[in-house]
Amino acid sequence: MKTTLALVAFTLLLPVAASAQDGRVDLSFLDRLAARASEKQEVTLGPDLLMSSGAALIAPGPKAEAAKQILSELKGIYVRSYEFDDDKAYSMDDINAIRKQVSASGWVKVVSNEERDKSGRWELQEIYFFHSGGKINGMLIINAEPREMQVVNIVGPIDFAKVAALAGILGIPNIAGAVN
Amino acid sequence: MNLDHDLHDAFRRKQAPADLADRVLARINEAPAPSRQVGPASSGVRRWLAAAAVLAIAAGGGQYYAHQRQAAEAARVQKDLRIAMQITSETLARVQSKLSQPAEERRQQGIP
Repeated sequence: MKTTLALVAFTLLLPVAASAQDGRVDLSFLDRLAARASEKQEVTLGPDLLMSSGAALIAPGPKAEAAKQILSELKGIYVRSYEFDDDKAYSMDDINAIRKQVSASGWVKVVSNEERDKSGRWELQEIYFFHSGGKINGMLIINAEPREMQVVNIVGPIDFAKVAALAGILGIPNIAGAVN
Repeated sequence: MNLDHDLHDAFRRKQAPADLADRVLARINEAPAPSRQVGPASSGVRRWLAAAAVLAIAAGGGQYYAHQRQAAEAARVQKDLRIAMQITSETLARVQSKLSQPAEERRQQGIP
């Protein structure tokens, strides 16, 4: 009986473990926060959508080919952005649920800023990279403040030198400058 | 019998019956309208042409629908990608700002 239960638990946990291994973070548990949000923006672009429509997204221009190449290599872009009317709409436990996933091997925290004032208000900013095969193959950005939260998970190879050179296309920011 | 006599008799003018015109008109009205008979070969070709036209319209409509759907999907993905990049950019900018802002300055501004 115990063996059966262990097997069932292992089977259920396997997809989460597997997804964490390829730079993907499971953000589905944030759905309950979405229900409490006064404003929300959610973007889920899986590999199929990026493959089928990626090339068509880039307007012709001098950087178009490089942008298409970067997009075609990405395996997913997942964004959750919520604003709340209540300071206590979510807790550190919700943040820790994300952090737990990136504690797996391959993930490295590259930026961390956590603050708490006397009244107990807290906020944190963290950036993680997922390394595999000697390259960065995923990124997770967390910004959590009392009334808002943003989580960005980009899955796939990220070459910051190339991305920085594409600043201006599709609103791509100067990521290299931000994380240095 | 005399040939001249026979011919004269045959070609003798006879008065038409008085009701001839009425009988002819009545017969015309009784007769069904002449239908245009179409040969079996012609009918088959017409049927195939109709089927081909229907197929062509269906295929064209399907292709147009698929194209419209693909265009709508691409527009949605493009919009999503822009939103994703915008949020990523803003989030990174915020992180960068927090890290570069001295703690003392933030304390003065009442930022935790």
